[in-house]
Amino acid sequence: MIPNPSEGHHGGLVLFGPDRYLFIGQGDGGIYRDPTFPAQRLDNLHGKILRIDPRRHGTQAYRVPKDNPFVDRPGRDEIWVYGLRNPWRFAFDPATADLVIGDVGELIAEEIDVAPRAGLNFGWSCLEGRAPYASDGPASCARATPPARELIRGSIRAEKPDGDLPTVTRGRPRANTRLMPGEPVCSITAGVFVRDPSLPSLVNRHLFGDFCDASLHSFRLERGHVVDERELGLDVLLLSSFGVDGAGRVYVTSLAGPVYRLEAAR
Amino acid sequence: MTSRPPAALPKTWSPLDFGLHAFLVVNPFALGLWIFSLAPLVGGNLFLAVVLAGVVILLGAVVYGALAARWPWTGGDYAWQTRLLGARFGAVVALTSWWLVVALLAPVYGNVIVVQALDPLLMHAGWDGVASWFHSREGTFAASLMAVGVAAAFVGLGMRRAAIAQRVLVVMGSAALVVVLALLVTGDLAAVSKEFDAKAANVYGASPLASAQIVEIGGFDAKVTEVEPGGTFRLVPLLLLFGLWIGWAGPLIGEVRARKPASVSLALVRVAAVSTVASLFFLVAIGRGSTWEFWNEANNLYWGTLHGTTAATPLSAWPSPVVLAAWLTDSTLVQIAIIAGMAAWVLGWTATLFLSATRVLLAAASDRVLPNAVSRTTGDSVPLVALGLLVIPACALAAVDAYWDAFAEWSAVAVIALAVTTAGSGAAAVAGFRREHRSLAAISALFVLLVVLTIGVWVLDPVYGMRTFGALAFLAALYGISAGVYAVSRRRERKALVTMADASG
Repeated sequence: MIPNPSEGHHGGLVLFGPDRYLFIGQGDGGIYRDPTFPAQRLDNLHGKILRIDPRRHGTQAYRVPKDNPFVDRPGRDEIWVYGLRNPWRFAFDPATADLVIGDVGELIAEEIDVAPRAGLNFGWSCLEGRAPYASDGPASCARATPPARELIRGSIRAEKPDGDLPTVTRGRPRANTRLMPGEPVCSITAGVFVRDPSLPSLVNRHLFGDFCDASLHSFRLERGHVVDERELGLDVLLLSSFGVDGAGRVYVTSLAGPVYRLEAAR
Repeated sequence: MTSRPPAALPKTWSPLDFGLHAFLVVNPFALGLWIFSLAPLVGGNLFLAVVLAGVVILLGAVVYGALAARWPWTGGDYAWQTRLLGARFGAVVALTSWWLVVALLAPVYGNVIVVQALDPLLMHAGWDGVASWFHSREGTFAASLMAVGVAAAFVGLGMRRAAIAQRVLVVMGSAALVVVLALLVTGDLAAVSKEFDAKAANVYGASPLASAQIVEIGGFDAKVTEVEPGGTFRLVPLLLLFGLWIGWAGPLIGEVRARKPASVSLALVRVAAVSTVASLFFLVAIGRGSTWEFWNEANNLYWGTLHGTTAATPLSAWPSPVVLAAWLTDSTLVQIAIIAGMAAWVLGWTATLFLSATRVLLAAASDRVLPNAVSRTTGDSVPLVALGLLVIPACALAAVDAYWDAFAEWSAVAVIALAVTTAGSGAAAVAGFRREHRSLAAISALFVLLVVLTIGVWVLDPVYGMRTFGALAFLAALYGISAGVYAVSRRRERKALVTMADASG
């Protein structure tokens, strides 16, 4: 039992990995602008994905695999990756065993983080997505791994951003540089790679969506990078999770009530 | 050197009309608000910088006021510089800024019309598609043509009707300003945040937590009580991008009937003082109503999103303080009325684009630097040919600006030519007053020094983006064109001279 200092950010998933160890998604504890940067500290279990062997070992309720990155190093042995806010759903790429994490954002961005190896720091709460969130964070923030994909909250974008230093005489928005509101996102739900051969257009692709933006999306993972992102053309209001049954069929759950199963179009 | 007035037109304006025109040029509620929003790109204490810029503007008012009172010649900068500094210098400097550069400026005016007036009005009216179109290339071009149309129509009214029109605009704008100030001053932070969130979501489709998000991710620490001298001094040249043109009405001075010459000087000094005080009042009201930090962070995010240097702004529009104030009312009709009322300042500012320039061209034509036809006017003092010399290139250049991004970056440097002309008139004042009024000559010399420093900052400070080869070459080309026009005119003049040999033959 990991005590949580607030009602939120408990994480949301425990999952056996391809190595048969148990991975636990643990949120940062939910204290707004927590000045102690719990997700960056290695002496607690908040804001991490943990990896344990859940079998009882003598008097211990579980044991820690010896190849966990912080075994025999400063920091809690259970930590696999850290610097996360609320890793609501995560999954392993069946081809590479890369860990794909959907980390729910605070104000700026929703993240899809990819961990091809253990010990990575994804930057929360110094960074949210690629943007600075808190400027007075610990030194570990400088070594943060950027997200493989970020969905900007509020989703405002310049149609044609210059991408260089702003100058006042180029301050006049030029043609085609209007700020365009896109689809709003608010809480990412990642978490399943499709293996169902009856869904050939989705096989080996990772499904994800957002609680506020109803449209489902998928992507492939290529050497740790998110590529070939597509919309499925399916909407699920109030998306909460994905699941897979023993036959590999994919399910989608909604807080509006229904549980959907994905089938190929006839 | 001759003291022959370059042109004579009926004196139809009072010193008040002259002062109102000058105020419309430097009013802080049009280009001024736009410039204030850019302050986060520079940093510093905006309140203090407004005061410092106000000192420069006041010096400019004294210099231009003294020139206008002592030598009330149609053509202003052109007339003073050709008579007091030298015909060639004056003609090249004044024609570059008052003809070529003025013709380049329509897109700047068009942009302010769109961002500060059309966009919020159309969005509040629910015509989102039309509002978006004005941000396309075609829309940008159309907005520039609107600016040209407004400026040309104002000249076409003739001086008497133009005086009435600008009085109406000032009254409309002032009434809306009183309402905006009252709303900002009486609204508290909680009310502003709540109303902002509700209306931003309704009008612009922003997140219902937009105000909290802006404060959270704004990334700009706006100074209120700290001096921060480095940033503050860097802000002054930024503010002078809209305030330095206190002498813009100067070319109209030949049409002002002043019982006492001092009345035109006083009019300009009052304009400088009112512009600075009004800027401060408005900024204090913004700080009081929507909180200083919130407005500055919203501006920082707006510019940062356009340039890709900050997190994305939650609000998909320029954070207009007028719109923020209007959102403190509940009726959409009242909101539209407030925004439309304040648009009178933008309209009045746009109207000033060509009027003075026509007088410079007219004066140059009287000196035969431009063809004689340019000096022709209608009975209402409308110089149609001179107006055409501005409207036609302005339309063509607006098209180039809308469809060619590099040109828009180069043409921004043209503002330097306007400042060079301002410094030129300061130098003319030094030359003119150095014997009869030494204190005025000293004030003029100080003003010239400050303008030169300002130009230096604009060129050297990378935040102004003017120090590029393309921009500076473009500026040199503008002066080259004016020098060419002047050289051709002198050659034609020499050919037209009747020599003694011709006369005796």
